[in-house]
Amino acid sequence: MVKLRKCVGKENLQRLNYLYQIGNIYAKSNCKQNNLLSSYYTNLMISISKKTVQRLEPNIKRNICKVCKNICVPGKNCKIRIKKQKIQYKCNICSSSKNYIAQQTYLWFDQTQSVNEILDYSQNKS
Amino acid sequence: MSASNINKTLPPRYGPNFKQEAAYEHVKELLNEILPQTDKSQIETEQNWRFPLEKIREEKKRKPKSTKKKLLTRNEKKKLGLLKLPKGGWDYSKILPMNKIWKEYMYENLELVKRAPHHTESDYNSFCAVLNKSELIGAEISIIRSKVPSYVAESKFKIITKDACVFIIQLRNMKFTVYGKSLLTRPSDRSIKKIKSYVFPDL
Repeated sequence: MVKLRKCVGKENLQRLNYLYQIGNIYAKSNCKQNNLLSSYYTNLMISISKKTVQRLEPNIKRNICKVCKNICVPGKNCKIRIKKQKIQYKCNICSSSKNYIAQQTYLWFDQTQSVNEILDYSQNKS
Repeated sequence: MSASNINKTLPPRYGPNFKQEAAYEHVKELLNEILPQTDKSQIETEQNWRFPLEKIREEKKRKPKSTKKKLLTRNEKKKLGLLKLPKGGWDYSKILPMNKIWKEYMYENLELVKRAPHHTESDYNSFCAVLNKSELIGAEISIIRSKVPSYVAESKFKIITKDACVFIIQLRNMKFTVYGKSLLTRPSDRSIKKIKSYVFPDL
């Protein structure tokens, strides 16, 4: 087993990752009480990322409704439409909407130059 | 021309290329018809015509205020039920898989190799810092000591005071004892707070 170099704030990143996974489970479930939990977890996730100064990945951030902080599951929580080269997310719970430009390499994140270093921790799994 | 033409639209020759000279002639013709004969002599002599409406321009159209919805108010949150979690009506069969994910997450987070470090080893302090910063939602926790004796070894859904309890967190074949005093902060604050290396073990 090889011990890799520790990346900065690994335990915080892992905590964010775990909260996002749980939130996804509850957003998909059919029970109405369970859906409320997903907004509770994402609220926690956002407040942690603010305090530890670690930004969320843009694709994850766009999945979260900006107003009611629910995780958007298309077909269940939210509607997705394409209008005039823009993607529109509409939340069914709070009926708010947000638009994004539909271009593959619009963000700096999507381009291949943006990757600086990759640390792979999958070897440490038992 | 007659007086009945006043409220109608202008003839086509005064259309889009409407000039000031044409306006003079048009008004002169009109006045010739309307005015009594005694005043007609003054039309030619009085040269200072004024057109007060000339200076007034069309106002710029103001953009309508954006009707985009921003944040929810407190009352709206209350209606959606986001402020307080409801007490009943939970589907516990869906909640159970959370514990399975938590075990995987915790095992990877603590970087455990079969066993946790002993308190005499050098890794121990950094290990405690990671444990303090990790998430406890979905964990299997029980109370072993408490100031309230009825809490101990009870299986019930209950809201308790963390200050006066000692918890045990179970992970596979390991157990971690945690004092309730160290969990008294907000869940988001816990990931930045620095802990003391040694806390006096007291309830």
